[in-house]
Amino acid sequence: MGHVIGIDLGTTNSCVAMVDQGKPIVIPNTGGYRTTPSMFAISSDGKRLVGHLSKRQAITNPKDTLYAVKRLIGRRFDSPEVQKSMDLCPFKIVRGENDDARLEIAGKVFTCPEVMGVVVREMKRVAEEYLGEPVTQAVITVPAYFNDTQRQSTKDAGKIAGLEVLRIINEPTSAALAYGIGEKKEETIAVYDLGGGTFDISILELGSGVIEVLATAGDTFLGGEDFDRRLVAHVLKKFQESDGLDLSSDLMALQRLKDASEKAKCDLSSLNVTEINLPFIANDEGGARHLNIEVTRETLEELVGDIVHKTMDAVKQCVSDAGLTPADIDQVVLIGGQTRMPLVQQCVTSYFKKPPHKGLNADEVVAMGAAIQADILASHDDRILLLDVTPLSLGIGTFDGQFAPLIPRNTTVPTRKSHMFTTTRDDQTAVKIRVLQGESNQADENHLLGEFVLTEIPKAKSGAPEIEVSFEIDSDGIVNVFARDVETEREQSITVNAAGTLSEEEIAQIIKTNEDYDLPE
Amino acid sequence: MHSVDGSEQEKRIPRLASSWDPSSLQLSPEEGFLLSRIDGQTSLTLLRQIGGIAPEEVDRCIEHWLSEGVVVIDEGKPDRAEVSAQAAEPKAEAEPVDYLSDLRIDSALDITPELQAQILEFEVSLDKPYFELLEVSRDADTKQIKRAYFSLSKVYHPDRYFRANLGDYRVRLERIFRKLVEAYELLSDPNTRAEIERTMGPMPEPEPEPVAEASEAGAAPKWKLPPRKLTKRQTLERLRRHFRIPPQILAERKLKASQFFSVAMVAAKRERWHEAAPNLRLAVAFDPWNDEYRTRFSDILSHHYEQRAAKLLDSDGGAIDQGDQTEALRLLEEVLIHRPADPEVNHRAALLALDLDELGRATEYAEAACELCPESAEKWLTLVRVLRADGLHEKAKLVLKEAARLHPKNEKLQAELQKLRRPRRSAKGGG
Ligand SMILES: Nc1ncnc2c1ncn2[C@@H]1O[C@H](COP(=O)(O)OP(=O)(O)OP(=O)(O)O)[C@@H](O)[C@H]1O
Ligand SMILES: [Mg+2]
Repeated sequence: MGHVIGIDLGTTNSCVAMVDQGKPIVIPNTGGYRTTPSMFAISSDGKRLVGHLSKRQAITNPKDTLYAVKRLIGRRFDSPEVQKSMDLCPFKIVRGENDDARLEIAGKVFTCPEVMGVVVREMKRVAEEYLGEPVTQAVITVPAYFNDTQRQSTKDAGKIAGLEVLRIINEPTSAALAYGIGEKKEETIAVYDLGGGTFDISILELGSGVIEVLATAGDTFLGGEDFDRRLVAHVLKKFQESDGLDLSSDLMALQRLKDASEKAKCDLSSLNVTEINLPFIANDEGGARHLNIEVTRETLEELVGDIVHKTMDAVKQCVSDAGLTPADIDQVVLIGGQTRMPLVQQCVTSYFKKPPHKGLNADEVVAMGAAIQADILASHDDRILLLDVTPLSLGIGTFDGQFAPLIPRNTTVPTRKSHMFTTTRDDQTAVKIRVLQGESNQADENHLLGEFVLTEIPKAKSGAPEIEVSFEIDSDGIVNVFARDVETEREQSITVNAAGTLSEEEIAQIIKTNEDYDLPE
Repeated sequence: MHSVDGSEQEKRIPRLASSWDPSSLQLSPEEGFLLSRIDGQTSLTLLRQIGGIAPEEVDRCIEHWLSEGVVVIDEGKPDRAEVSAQAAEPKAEAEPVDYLSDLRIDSALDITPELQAQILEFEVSLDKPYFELLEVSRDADTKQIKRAYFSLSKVYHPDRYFRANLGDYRVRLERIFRKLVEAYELLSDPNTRAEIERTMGPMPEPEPEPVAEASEAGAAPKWKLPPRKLTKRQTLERLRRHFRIPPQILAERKLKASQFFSVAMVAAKRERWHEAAPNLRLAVAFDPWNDEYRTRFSDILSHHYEQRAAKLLDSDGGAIDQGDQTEALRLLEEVLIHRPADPEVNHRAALLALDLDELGRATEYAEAACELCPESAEKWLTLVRVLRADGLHEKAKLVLKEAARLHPKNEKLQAELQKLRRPRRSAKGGG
């Protein structure tokens, strides 16, 4: 059996790890970097660039450089998140055939799984270069709060990259696995993960070789990116006040400002004051303009305070969902680059009344956990077992627009629930079911996974046919639906109108097209 | 229970009809018990979860009472219906026990026949009360329940056999795991647990500890063997209570059991214990009321384990691997579950445990061997060796004296006793 790898496919950075002689190790790329920017670009001379190469040219080529695509994957074009991103991203977002969000750079349109697939392929390449042999199997991580469509799309990204995805696991769970490995103690821990694009909180119980997720909550559209954007908006306003110039339609200036703001944000984690200094940011009648603005930690905290507090609401929700109080938590583990911000650490410390656990590498621990899980599954290791939950309630839409949950959130997976359906008219031969995920009573406010049409129902009086529909959530957190005619014992055929995911043919087509592009070293 | 929709069931709450004449019904004690639980608040789901009464039985009773007009269920408005799709009524009768059909031990799969039998055995009794399912006693605390759930999950979670060829055992594992989750969740929540306990009636009295008999004056031995502890399986055996199963399902189960039994007997005739054992195990699981199956099972299982242990210990002159020894000891312990009173097996187990430095267990088995067969001097010598290895020299001395008293003519024992009397050259020399 070949090597199996674990990939942390992050919004900002990705990381690949494997288990070597019983220990998880991070695999560095040839440049010696242990993480790779999750970026993809097409340069002016038509070359496809990924990772560091792509990042390096981002400022001079903003509209053809894709970043933070993870925030768009598995979302519908009309969703508020995509619409918001359209205002802020330098690249073009367009409506796809399945109503999904697609990206257009250098005149070419890409699906999100395709772009993420490019990053996965790069991680695969890093591992293969290190090992000197092909890698075909991987575990890939996703934010715990990802819904079915987002998970499915991430799996597709793996497929597009030529990998067999053994399992999709949740980022906080993965971190807990790397944290808890070899620990004999019984402990309850909280994992707070604030990365570049997403936020997750999970409460887990460790003991006797089992890692059990008690509850999870989060926001898949909240992360360091949002902090950067607040700072960018602040600086734009200041600059307009001082120089009377609006930079917001100058893509190159914006890209420079975004870069500088992120850097300033990071600096302010250790400094009290820093400076954003961008000479020659613009040109007008008065000659070259320079931007030089001082930012204090206090200003930054004011700008993003509400975002941090929003994460704490989810933390409270999660602790209560787990049936616990903050005092029941033995350890608090912080992961994700944005948790280096002192304000985040203060809020977490004051809520749990204990300082967070130190000693894990917040950027690498997720990939290491994925590598461990890959190894456990592939080698049938009976010492450790992960018991994870589904983050969102799964249910169906009712005729009056309500949402009827069938599997509540925080149910241990794999799980399955059956529901009986029948016809409402005589001789009706098809029945439509809308499957949704979310916590709202209103169907429309939840995420539509797909519409399933039961067909070939034998003609009968209304109410007579009994069709048992089973809703299953597998260990990847992915939803499967089966239907069976109770009387005839026949499997019912189901037509799926999944919203926003790619069909097998589309994936095959993408793989075929991409074969023509071999990425430069 | 798996195919009928639970959320609908949750809303179905039976209550007693006002125009009900109690004298019109002939009730068995179980039925009376069930009827007493119908209070207009307890849902059908919870009623079906009442420990000690099979869900099928609950369904049967309720359906019968509904038709008699004893019980009514107020149907909520037919809500939750879609324009073209409407949730149908949950069916009142039990789910067809589809897992009974088409089950067999398949040697082509990636899991051993023994594990297959274990899975089937566990699955066939999934409807037993939650405490029994998790193999915990009724006064278990949440920690114990969690540990039990964790350790059972480690055996039955489908991930343990990731991508292995399991045939339809994968579906069985998933079904078992879901049930474990259900038991764990219901017993971890104080409210649902209280409800379950309430429906189970009072806790059974613990069995009284055997009281040491007053010893006869004069012949009183200075040292006495402690009472034997119950093995885990014996404890479970005691915990286990039978619940009534509807006749048609019972007939089906018995038929299945007899098929397993015949396969097992053919294998046993050829002394193919490894084939006989799992099949017989299933015969017992499907028809636990049949005493013949039980006795034959004990018998064959211990043959099977003994044979395997002997194979492991048969080294062809070479050194025996420690892993093999550990496994052999485990197998002998399995034999002891079925033949606890076999002095030879106890003795062999004691020697193995001594080799493995498992002194607690070695003592237990050596003591049992002596108790069961005091006329064998060899066994007493083993006990003395074990006690000495454990540093219990005083106790060893007492045992030795007792043994020498019983075997005045045994040379080895007498020689050991002589050694004791001779003054030691160095008082603190290595143990
Ligand atoms: N010292 C620091 N102070 C504040 N923020 C930081 C610091 N270092 C990194 N960050 C921020 O952390 C974010 C990246 O974190 P990380 O690499 O963990 O995210 P990711 O794994 O790519 O994203 P996600 O997990 O959300 O998909 C960026 O927004 C970055 O600006
Ligand atoms: Mg991350």
